[in-house]
Order: sequence, then C-alpha cells, then structure tokens
Amino acid sequence: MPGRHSVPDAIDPYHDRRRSLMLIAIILGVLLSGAIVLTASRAAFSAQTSNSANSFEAGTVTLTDDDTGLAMFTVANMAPDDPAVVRCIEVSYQGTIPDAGEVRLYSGGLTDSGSLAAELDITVDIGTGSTTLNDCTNFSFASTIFTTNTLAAFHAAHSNYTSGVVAWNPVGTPETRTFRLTVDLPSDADNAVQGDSVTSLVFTWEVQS
Amino acid sequence: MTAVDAVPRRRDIELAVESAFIFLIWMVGALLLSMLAWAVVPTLLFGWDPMVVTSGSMSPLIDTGDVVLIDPDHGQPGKGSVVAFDLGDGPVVHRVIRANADGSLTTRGDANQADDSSLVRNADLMGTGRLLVPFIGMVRVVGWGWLVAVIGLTSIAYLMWRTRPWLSAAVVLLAMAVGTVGVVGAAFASTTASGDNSFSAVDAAPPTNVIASCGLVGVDNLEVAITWAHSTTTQRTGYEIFHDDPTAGDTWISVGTTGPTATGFTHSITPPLLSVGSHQFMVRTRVGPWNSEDSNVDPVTITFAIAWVCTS
Repeated sequence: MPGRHSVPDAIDPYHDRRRSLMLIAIILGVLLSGAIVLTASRAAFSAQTSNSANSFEAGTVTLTDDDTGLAMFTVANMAPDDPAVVRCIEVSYQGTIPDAGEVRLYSGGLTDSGSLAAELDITVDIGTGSTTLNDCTNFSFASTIFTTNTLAAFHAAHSNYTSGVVAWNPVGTPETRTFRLTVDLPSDADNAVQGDSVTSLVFTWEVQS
Repeated sequence: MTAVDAVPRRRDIELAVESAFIFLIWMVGALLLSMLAWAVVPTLLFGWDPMVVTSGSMSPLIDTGDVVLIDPDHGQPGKGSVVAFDLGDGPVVHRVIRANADGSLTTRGDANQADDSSLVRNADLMGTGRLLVPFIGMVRVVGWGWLVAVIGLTSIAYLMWRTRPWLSAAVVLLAMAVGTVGVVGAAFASTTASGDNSFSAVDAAPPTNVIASCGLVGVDNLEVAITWAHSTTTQRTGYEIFHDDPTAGDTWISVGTTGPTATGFTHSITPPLLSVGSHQFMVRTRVGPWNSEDSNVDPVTITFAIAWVCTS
C-alpha cells in the first residue's frame, strides 16, 4: 500500500511482515465480530420462556406497599346514605435506579354481579403520611389524581400501565407516597343495585423504567 | 562482532512489541468496525431497524448498549420471540410470553418479575428481533459517549484520509449510520397491588307477617291497624306503608312512614276514599332512599249494611 508516508521496501525490510500481520489481525477481528454477533443473537432470540427470578440484577425497580397482603376494601351492606368509605395505603419506590419512570395506578379483576360498579363513586388522592392498616388519620393531602367518577368508569379507562392513572414520578430511592381511596355509594344510587356486589377488584401500582 | 550482534537483538524486542501493538490495534479496530457493520449492513440489505437498548430488563441475554436489529416485516410473533413495540411510552424490547386468543401478545422482560400489564396489539408492534450486536451501541447510551464517538471516528477518518482513503470513507459512512440508529428501552417493571377488594350493596328485606286489622269504625271514618314483624335488615331507616284502594285502581299508594323501630301503623280511611270492597295493605322496608321489595299483602273488606262494616 504505497503512500506519501510509507517507507520504501528497500529501507524497511519488515514492511511485508507488518502487512501480513495487519491482514491477519483484520481477518481475525472480522471473524470474531461474526462469532460474537451470531452467538449473542442465537442466545437472545432462540424461542424460550423468560428467565427464572434468580436472574435479577442490580438496577431493577421495586415497588412495595404496606397493606400486608390484605384487601383495602371489604365493605358489605353499603347503603346510599352511608358515609363514604375511606382507605389509605403507602406505596414505596425502592429501585436501585434513582430516576425511574412514572408510577401509575390501575385496576383489574373486577367482577360485578349486577351494576354496582356503575353506581359506586371513587376518588383517588395522593399525599404523604404514614398509614397503619388502611387508616387515614395521618394522611396529608397533596393532590387528586382521579377526580370522582364511577368505579366502572375508572376500571374501563385505567386497566393497565399504559392507560394507568399517573401517580407520581420518583426522583429518588426510596421514595414513598400515600394514597387515599374514597369509595361512596351516592344518595341517588339506583334502587335496582340492591344486593349487587363487586368482587375480586385489584388496585395495582406499577412503575417502569 | 559483539557490537554487531547487539543490534539485531534489540531489534527483535522492538519488533515483537511493535508487532503485538500493530496486531492488537488492527484487530480491535477491525472488530469494532465490523460490529458496526453488523448493525448497519442488514438495515441496508433487508430494511431491518437497528435500535440501541437503553436499559437492562432483558438481561442477561440482551444488555444495555446492545444493538437489536428489528425486522418490521414480522408476521405473527410466537411465544419466546423478542419483539419491539411502542405503547406510547417509547419503544420497548421484551419477550413474548403468549399469544392471546384476541390476537394480542402478552410480553415480559426476561429480568422482570411479572408479565407486562399492557397487552401488545398488532398496531403497537414494531417488529421482531433478528440480530443482536452486543455492546456496540454503548456510545448512544452513556452520557457523552455519542459525542466522543463522533469526534473519535472523525479524527480517525481525518488521520487515515491521506494513507487509506477507502478505510477513511468507510469510517465516515459508519459514523453517519450510527447517528441514525434509534434507541429502544427494555423496560423494567415492578408492581404492588391491593387485591381481592369487594363491595356489596345492602339488600333490604321487607318486613314479614304483615297483618291489616279493623280498628274503630266511625260514622264517616274507619281505622285500619297494620302490624308487622321487623325486617332482617338492621340498617333500615324506617318502614313505608302502602294501600291499594278498590276505587283507585290497582295501584299502591303510600299512606305513611314510620321509624325503624315501629312495628305498627294506623291508617284512617275517610269518606272520599271509604269504599266498598277489598282494601289491600303492604309494607316496605326503607334504607335511606332505597326501599325493599313488597311484603306480604293483607286485606280488610269493607261492606255497608246500615253502617260501615269492616272485616279482616
């Protein structure tokens, strides 16, 4: 490969040796890249199910709550003039990624024996303050993330992370927020929903990064 | 002779070091450039989209900085295949866990604890992963890496322009191609839930054993005493008594309410309503604005023989 800076062969007797060394290096590099790409592709794209839980690594996101696995709401015999049912729950972001995506709230699993969900009103507020077993005594209101509407409307509009109600965007870790859920059977509730029940309702908080 | 011998020996060491250095430089250079080529060439040949993975929820198989080549002509991805999709929060690479009956896909990051909550519909799909080029996209992930890569590649291209113009041009082309590569997240997800919540509305039960009986009979009025046994609904706010008058057609007319603890009510039938025939009575339990079903119906019969006669 003669060029302006190349040393003529007569003066540099090692030119050929250097050149063949270079060629071998290039060929090896190209082959190596092929091996790496094909091996990685085969491992990643071969049909298989996901890894078991032991493949967790640092940098994951974790969300926990303080409900100790108990349901927030187990309300029987609701009547239209009863006071609204208020429950609070603390949700903590504890990921090792400090700047995760939004925490969002959605519902799932709702089973309605009649049309009670269309009559129940739900409001979701976010704030701070510790809670003990759903108690709202220490709740300090910050803002309303879901303005009063029926439970059926909440469920229809917010059923997964994509459509979830935006709760908050953690900027540190751990970071805790308290949620106040208010469920009310309003005075004008239809007489026809007597005896109806809503069961298996799951409120889920999810974070993605 | 000894002086002459000493020169080649030093030359040998120099040569070995120089050879190793040349070998390493060219091999690493060739490796990096051909890795870049792996990321770029299929794009030009097959129209696959190279995307740099920006987070690690698919680890350990697909890591941050890897370039995934996405085939947009995907067909129907099956279980286990890696797909890229965008649900509005930016592109995500995850694995298909199952294809659902409605045509949607349930996906999950390999390092995630749970399936993704959002189902992936065909319209959200960007394609399936075909080729994985490890590490080479790191320049797009690390803060200033992108700038360093551009400056580095430009410098190399400039330095080689005189001696190896073909290689220099290739480097510039690759640098440009790298700049056009998109990024794709492999979203970590975690959820916490309050499960098994339930609500039920009260089902107001009517009172039982409703009995209408004749009370005082006057010249122009007549009393009917209605009694009942309490409803089982302890939340009741009261009772409402209904009267079906034979002259008023077959309709229930509310004639009065009581509190929740009452078990009797006296209804006074006055001349305009006083009429011959069967008068029916029934009671409903009230819970706030709601009322129960009808209780049993009990009649009194009013006849006229010189004076009003009431039989129950």
